[in-house]
Amino acid sequence: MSKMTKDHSLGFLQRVLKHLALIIGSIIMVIPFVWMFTTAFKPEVEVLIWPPKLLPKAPTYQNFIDLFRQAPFFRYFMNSVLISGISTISILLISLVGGFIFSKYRFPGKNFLFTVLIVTAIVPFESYVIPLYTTMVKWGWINTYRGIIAPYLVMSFGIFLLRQHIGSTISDELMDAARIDGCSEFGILTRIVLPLSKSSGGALGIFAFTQAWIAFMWPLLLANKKEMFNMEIGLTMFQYRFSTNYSLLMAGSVISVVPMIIIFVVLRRQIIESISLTGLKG
Amino acid sequence: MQGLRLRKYSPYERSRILFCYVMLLPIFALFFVLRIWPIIRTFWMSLFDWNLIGRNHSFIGLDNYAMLFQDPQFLLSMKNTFLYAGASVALCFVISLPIAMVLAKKMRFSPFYQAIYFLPFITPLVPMSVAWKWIYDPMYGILNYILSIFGMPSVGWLIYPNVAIWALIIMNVWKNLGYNIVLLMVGLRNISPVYYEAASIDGAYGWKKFQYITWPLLKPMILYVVVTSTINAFNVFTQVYVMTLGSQAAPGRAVRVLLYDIYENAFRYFRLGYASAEAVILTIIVIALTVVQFKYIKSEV
Amino acid sequence: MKRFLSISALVLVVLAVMVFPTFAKTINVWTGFPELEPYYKWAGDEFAKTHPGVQVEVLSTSLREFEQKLVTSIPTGTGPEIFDVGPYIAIKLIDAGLLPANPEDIDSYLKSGAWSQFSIDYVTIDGKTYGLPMMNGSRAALFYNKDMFVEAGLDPDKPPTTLTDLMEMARKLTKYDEAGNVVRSGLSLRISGGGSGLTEKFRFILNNAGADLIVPTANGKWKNGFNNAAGEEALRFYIDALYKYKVDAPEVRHDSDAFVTNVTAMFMRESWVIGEVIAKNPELNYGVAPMPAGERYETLAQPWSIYMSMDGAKSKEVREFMMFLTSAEAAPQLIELSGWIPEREFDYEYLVEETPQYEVFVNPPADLGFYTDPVIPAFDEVQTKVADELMAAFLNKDLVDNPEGIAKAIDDIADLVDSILKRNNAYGK
Repeated sequence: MSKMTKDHSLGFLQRVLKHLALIIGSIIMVIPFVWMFTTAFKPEVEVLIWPPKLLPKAPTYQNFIDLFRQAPFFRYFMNSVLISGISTISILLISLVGGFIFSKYRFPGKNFLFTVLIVTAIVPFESYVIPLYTTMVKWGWINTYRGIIAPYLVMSFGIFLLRQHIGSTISDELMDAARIDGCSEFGILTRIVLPLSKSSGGALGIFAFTQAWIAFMWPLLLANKKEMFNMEIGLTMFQYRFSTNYSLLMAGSVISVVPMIIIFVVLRRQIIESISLTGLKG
Repeated sequence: MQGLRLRKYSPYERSRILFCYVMLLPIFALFFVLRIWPIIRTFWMSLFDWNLIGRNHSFIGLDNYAMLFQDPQFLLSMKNTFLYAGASVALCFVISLPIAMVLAKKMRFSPFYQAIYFLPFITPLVPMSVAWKWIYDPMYGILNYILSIFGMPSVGWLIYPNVAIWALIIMNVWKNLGYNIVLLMVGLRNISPVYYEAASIDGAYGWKKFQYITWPLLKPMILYVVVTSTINAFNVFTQVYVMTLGSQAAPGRAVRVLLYDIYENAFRYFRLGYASAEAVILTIIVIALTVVQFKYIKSEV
Repeated sequence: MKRFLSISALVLVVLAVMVFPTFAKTINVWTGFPELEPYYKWAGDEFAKTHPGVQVEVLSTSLREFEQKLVTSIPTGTGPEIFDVGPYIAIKLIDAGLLPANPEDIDSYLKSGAWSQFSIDYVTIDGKTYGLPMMNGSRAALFYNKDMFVEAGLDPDKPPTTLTDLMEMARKLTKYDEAGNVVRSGLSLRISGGGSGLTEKFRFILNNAGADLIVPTANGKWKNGFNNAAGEEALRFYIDALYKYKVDAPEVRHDSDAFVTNVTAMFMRESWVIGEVIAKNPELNYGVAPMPAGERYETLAQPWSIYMSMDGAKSKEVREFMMFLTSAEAAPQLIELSGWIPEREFDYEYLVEETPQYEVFVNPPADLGFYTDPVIPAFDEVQTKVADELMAAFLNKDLVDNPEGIAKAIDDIADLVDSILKRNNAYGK
């Protein structure tokens, strides 16, 4: 292990300060969560007491029970999993292929196509949602999973990220070496690029999953039956016309956040995995 | 098209080009249906007086655009969005870079910190906005409570326009810190330790290492982070939308951003053509900013 | 990676296996009030007993999102058979020819004596009726905390009856801390929050001061109605309340949340607050009084209707369900399950006995007048944009004891209203 990865040069005091800063930062990061979490366990009467107390006086699981009684939350949960899962897989595949090609190849029309991609990344979804919706109507895809998932199959940012990552980690020499060994272009993709992209692929996976998980406007527009709702839509159930049932809302939010945390923890390894292959460089 | 100039490519290259097209075909087919065509239609609608639920769509050319520039709410949205995006992106980047650098090295608890700093990014937006409203509450919010400990007066965070926008900016920075950190960490990990070793041997240390190795080699990732953060910040919608709901909400005027204005014009007033024109303007602005960022950051290599 | 793929395939299969039950006839009901869902569900179950084979499916989400979904789906024919929606949206749909006029059976039901002429008139546009007024969307009254009245030396059975009294009593009911900041508002006004609600609440004071937001003109058009002494008086009321007499402050909690947690002594809202109190603070000792009078004695009372889609109206079952939803038989369930009060004529004795606070809503004083939102498409935009302007005015301390300033502010807002009307071809002199 190179000396650079463990910094012994910092004095003890400096390390303590560093940790202190990080901890203060962590507390700031975490406060809304703590509120969310503790409110999920409060009975409704306790939510709006003034001044607000952090911890519930009479903690209860009731909110979670009520949650599942009020609406088919398990179904919403599975829907979210399905939508986010397919979306993530699709985006990963497309970004890998697209990123690879735009990074390592020259071909006529490349700049034009890349510019088109950039433009699609910039235009906000909310502005072209209506024409897209009309297309779905025409195809009869309203209230179907394919209709709901469709816009989340692609993510221009994904192609950019992988393109730039592949560009800086895979050298042309490496590719030429593979070709000399009889590897096809496709083979390069699957045998070299794919394994080496775990790091940014992991990061992209999280972003894609998150984007689809918290998707709200589109799934709501397309779902005509409650069974097609995802978790984010389910959470709106507790915002009545003039008031909000905070305890149920927070209970639902807790359930919504937990899988995201799990995904993050799982993919974190991919991201942090060291990708420098000293054998092939230099 | 340029495709016809294939003759200048060798057979090797030609087969590779074919490979490219074949692989890109399904991808662009998807992009076309899901993005390109709807975007073209939106741009087309901007030239019409297009009511969301009406039947008659009359062509009015650039009238929508002319009307926009005289619309005080549009102009206010522009101002707010620029301020919001500029401040968010800058602050977020400046804070996340040191954190990413610290966390990228193997240190105790690093995974723990990473998870914590990333949490805000993956929270559903509705409960997060609700939690922040509580934090910002003028009478009982925790922020004012902390201020009072230091003897400072309470601030009406979400009440007064000038302050409200900064409250939203802080919330946005909080949310996106994790995104920036994760990406910067990937970028940092991509920098081979070989460079640092070589530099150490040459006698470089601390700040110089950063200046001559880290910064230049991190450029591509920095560029990516800044560009995508900018695009996302300009396209902010949900947080603002949620913050302006309800009676304890932030004043609408202060937090009126472009996409919120577009949404309101399209789905509240049904002025789809008008909203589309606004979207086109937003797009042009962000493209311009992106180009500028590319030129600026790239040129510093 | 492979494991990930196979797990996802498994999930796919599991979900594909879930089959939707299919029924002979499905009636889709959509609403923007999640609290109405239990009512629609109950009604659907009851209805199925007499109409076997009919399945009612309810979909609800929060209001703004629901409206967006509704206006996107109706023009493309992918919408519900029955839905409830605010008049500001309904009028636009009617205007665009997307909502059917009531078929004969529904029209006669409407005029069968179950609804007051006021309600019937409200849903009549160009001689035709649209939808059935199911519930009392906004009928506002003054809520006040009796314990706080006693504490301040006021008679808890004599709530303020005029705007002047309102301000005076509010001053006695407000509590301050050592620094002079308001910690309990005497009267909680709506001074922030996006959307049109702010203007709607402003009109409580504006109307009773003697002006309307917009008034009809000779040829079926409209113009602003508040660029006058009454309009200035209303704005002055707010400014004085906030800065001169300090009975309310931007920093304090507002609205129902404040009332339920004893942070305000009085505020003006609709009947749903009663349900809130029962849920969140049943011990609260409070009363409900009619809107204090100024030059006028009236209150906002707006029916909220259910409508059918074009296709829905063709179906006998849909029409019968519409009538069931607004029947006397279903009315008690509406109150019980959602907290909303039916618009139709109904005997509310049992309700008032149980919860006397309902009295003002269901048995208003005979001389109390009612007004509604003008039923034109532009009104929503007017209210929403005026809200922004009002909010800015409310934060402007310079308007205290500044009649010219107030007059100018009112003048500017009136101009804005007129320009919006003009742009929508609704302006007349």
